[in-house]
Amino acid sequence: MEFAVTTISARPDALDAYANSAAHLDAAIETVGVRLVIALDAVDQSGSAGISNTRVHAHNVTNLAAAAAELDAWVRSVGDAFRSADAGLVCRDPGRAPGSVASGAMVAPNPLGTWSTLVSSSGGALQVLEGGKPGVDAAGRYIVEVSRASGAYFRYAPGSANAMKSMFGSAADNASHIASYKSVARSFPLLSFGLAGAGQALGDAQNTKLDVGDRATRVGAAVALEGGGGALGGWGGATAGAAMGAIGGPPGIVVGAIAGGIIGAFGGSAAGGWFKNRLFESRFGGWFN
Amino acid sequence: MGSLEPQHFDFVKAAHAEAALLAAAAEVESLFAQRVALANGARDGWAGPLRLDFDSQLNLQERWAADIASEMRAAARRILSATQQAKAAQTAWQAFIASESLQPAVNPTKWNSP
Repeated sequence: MEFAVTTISARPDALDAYANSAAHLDAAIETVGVRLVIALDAVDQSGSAGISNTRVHAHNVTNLAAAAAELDAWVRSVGDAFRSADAGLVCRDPGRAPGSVASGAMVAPNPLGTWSTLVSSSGGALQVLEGGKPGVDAAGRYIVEVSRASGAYFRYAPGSANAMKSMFGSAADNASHIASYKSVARSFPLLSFGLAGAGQALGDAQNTKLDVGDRATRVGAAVALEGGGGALGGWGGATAGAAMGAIGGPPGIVVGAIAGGIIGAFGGSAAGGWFKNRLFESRFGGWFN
Repeated sequence: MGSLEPQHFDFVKAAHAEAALLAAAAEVESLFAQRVALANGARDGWAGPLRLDFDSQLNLQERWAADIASEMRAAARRILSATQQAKAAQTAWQAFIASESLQPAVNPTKWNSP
């Protein structure tokens, strides 16, 4: 695949283990700094010729310890995000690593908001790619990555069907892929779709470039995933699915949408995961094999 | 005579500071090496832009730690050099006093010899 990357499924436990162990080391570094402050304070205060301003070294060490602790705490939040996503729960975007250049500082602002890595599900991760610019590929398209252990992923240019076509070699190829591309709603704080070709419900409902059946299909699937997000989960999705069905998608899809909503509503994330996996396996499983 | 005129220099504190800086440099390097080794273990379960973020920040911090350790060693060397110069000045001053059979013009305790 043109955009193939090597992606390893996230292991939150490994990140936790690192964060926990590193926290002890960070504390030890801080202790070194504190001891040095005490030692060098006495020297600076002695006013001995040739020895002055030595305390700056101690402060450098304590500053380093603080930065290290901040980074390691962030690693823990990344692990938490992956864990939540794997459990089908709403995850909180961990954002950029502390100290990283902000998206808008040196490069164009990321049009996809602050999302960096959003969802991991069944070994997959949905991420904003950061090639030349955060969230923008070499052709200037906004891109989202959907990856699995096999390393396959998509790119998506929101709001532009032409951009979608340009990603794939033929109209048929595009048609088969476009059915599964992931819709992203800007400024929506949670990205709550998995790998099944299910768009995030709100995003799809707002995407007028999709035909009704297409929207209903994805909304129905999204219902089974995480629905409206947050504690309401499947209920939000059920509402969205029913609403989209009412708009007038093909009967089978409408039923699927509503059924998906009900499953999402009653089954919560577990049912969502099941539905997602079934849909994914039946429609797109081959892509990732 | 200005070059021989004793200045205040605390040899004990200087030695203490030099040792503290050298020890701190070694500790920072050691602790950070352990941290990097830990990170290598965590890398198996992680991939993507966030990992790249982490790697770049860890790399920056690693270099920062190395710089800090290097600066602390340089400061320790400066203290050692200042100590040696102070000792040389003290020796020269005492030799001058002895050769001229003079009483020290300053309080000898000011040298605070080690």
